[in-house]
Amino acid sequence: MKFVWASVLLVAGLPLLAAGTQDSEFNVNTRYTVEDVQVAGDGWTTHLVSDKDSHISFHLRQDLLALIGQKLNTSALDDVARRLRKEFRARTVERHVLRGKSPQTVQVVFDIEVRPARFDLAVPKFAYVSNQGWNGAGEATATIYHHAFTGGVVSDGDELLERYTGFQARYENTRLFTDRLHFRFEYDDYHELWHDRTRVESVTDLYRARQIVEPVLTYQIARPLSLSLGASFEQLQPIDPAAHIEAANAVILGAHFRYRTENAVDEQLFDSGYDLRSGAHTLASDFAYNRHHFEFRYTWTRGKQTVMDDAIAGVLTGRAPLYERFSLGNSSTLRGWNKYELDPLGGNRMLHNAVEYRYGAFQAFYDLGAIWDAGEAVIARSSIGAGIREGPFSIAVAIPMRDGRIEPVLIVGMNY
Amino acid sequence: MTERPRATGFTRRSWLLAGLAIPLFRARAAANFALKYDGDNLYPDAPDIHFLTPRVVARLRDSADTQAFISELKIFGGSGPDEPPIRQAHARLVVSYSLWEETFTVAIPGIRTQQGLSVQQAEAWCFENLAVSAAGLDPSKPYRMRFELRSVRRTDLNRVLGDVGISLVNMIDIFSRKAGADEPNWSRELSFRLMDLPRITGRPGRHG
Repeated sequence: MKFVWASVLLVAGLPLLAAGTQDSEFNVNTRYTVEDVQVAGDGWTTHLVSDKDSHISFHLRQDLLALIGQKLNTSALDDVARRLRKEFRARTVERHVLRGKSPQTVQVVFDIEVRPARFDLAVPKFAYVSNQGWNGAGEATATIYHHAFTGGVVSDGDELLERYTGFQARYENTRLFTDRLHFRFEYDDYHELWHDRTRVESVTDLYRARQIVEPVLTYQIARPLSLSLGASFEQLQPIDPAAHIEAANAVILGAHFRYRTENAVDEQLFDSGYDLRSGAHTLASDFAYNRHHFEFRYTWTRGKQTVMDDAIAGVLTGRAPLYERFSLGNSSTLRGWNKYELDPLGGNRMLHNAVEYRYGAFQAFYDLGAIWDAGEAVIARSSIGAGIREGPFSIAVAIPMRDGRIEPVLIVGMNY
Repeated sequence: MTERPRATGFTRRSWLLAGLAIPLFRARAAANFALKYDGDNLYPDAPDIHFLTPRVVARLRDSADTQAFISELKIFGGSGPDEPPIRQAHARLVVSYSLWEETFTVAIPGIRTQQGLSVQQAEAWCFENLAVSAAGLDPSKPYRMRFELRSVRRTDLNRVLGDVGISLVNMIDIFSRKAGADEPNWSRELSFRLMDLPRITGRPGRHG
């Protein structure tokens, strides 16, 4: 029954989202070239070509400038309008397209209507994996200018070895003194559920609840590069009530690089990141460890075709809490495999690569990865799959490549 | 209690007249709806339906975007309200307006596209290209045809996706809004027998 509902949700949602992207192919105005772009706000107007002002953030301004000289692409305009709405916390961003000064050219005007406060309810993620169950999150956000206050609930058994269920509270400031500096403060309170296989493997390392306080500053050094610095203070309540509460405090460092290039026919996106979480006794932590996580994603698009390669690797040293250990075999890695079958306690070494080909809404993928503990033999596993993806929605069947039997696994959901 | 209707201006007579008028509106709608038959397909003909309203045209001119419409033709064998159609055809019409040529382009994705049209020509072209197959229908048997046309707002669909995922606030806003001036829709219905319909020639041979 759960499968039926998930399929209905996805199948009903996909055509709605597909319609918008398909229609732009039949727009007669796509033959015209964008001559100029203007952005108009509350009492101000910026001509992107000639003006220099501080209303628009550097990277968004660059993307607006990149529209000039290109053929009119209403999907790209919608994307920019959405980002303007997000950046200015605007109620609406209307876009108008006028004839340009030269023949066969057009001018684009974005009209921003700002509202000082707004409220939104959102579903950031939901996913159903037939061998691991449902996962989902819902949140409410109140935004006042650049300040966003969010409260949400989550139940996720997909991301980590544990199923964590609880609430999240978050404050974000997207323009702390400058639009390049972003501050986030988060408090989470989760209760944990453990899989039977994990319980059998380890009792002493399990916890029944954890509370997290996490302040993080992110600085946009240049358009493609950002650095993050923060801290994570976690309290782990052990399953045994007699045992003492443990602290897992860590420093967080991150560097992320995102670069997009395009010509008349191709678009390429390079996305890479490195994250370090370092726990130390000097931070009043009961755990001392270093967790390194690397990611590199390359996306190449030509027309309706997209090829993606997503590589991740992880190294964990020292004694770390279970939520820091790596696992593979969920809705985005080694799809089709069951993570508890691969390693119910996770590993401290991880390597994974996913290759995906998309044609329109159709997708096919091949996952290859290994998870192990240092000193153990490395066993590589793989899976193949196919499905339909439109925007953030996806429905796919994944098949783990193993000897002797075929066990397809259904994966449906959004934003995973 | 008897004073209340007079105070609001609605007497029993006005209610009676209004009730009698409802079937007349339906009859008028049916009178403005006809079918054309080329021996293979049935084509709707509704000269009073002007789906390229001034509001739609103004939006197309202002945004250089597209406006999509969904059409649905259903043939029923009986007159029961819950009876399933014995034949149906759906089509998606995508209209855009050229800023420099000042003409309309209409596309039925995957079927055909026509450029350089006026408002009237664009509407007429759409009706000429909407069809449902009549193959296998008994010429002497009465059938019922239901035609529906509704606009689809692309911007609303995009709004469903918020900054972090599906925005429930926007979704509630979109789905709670009644079909009105923003999303007009039209519906026509009529009974027919194939043997009574005049034959036409020169239509595109499209089966719905």
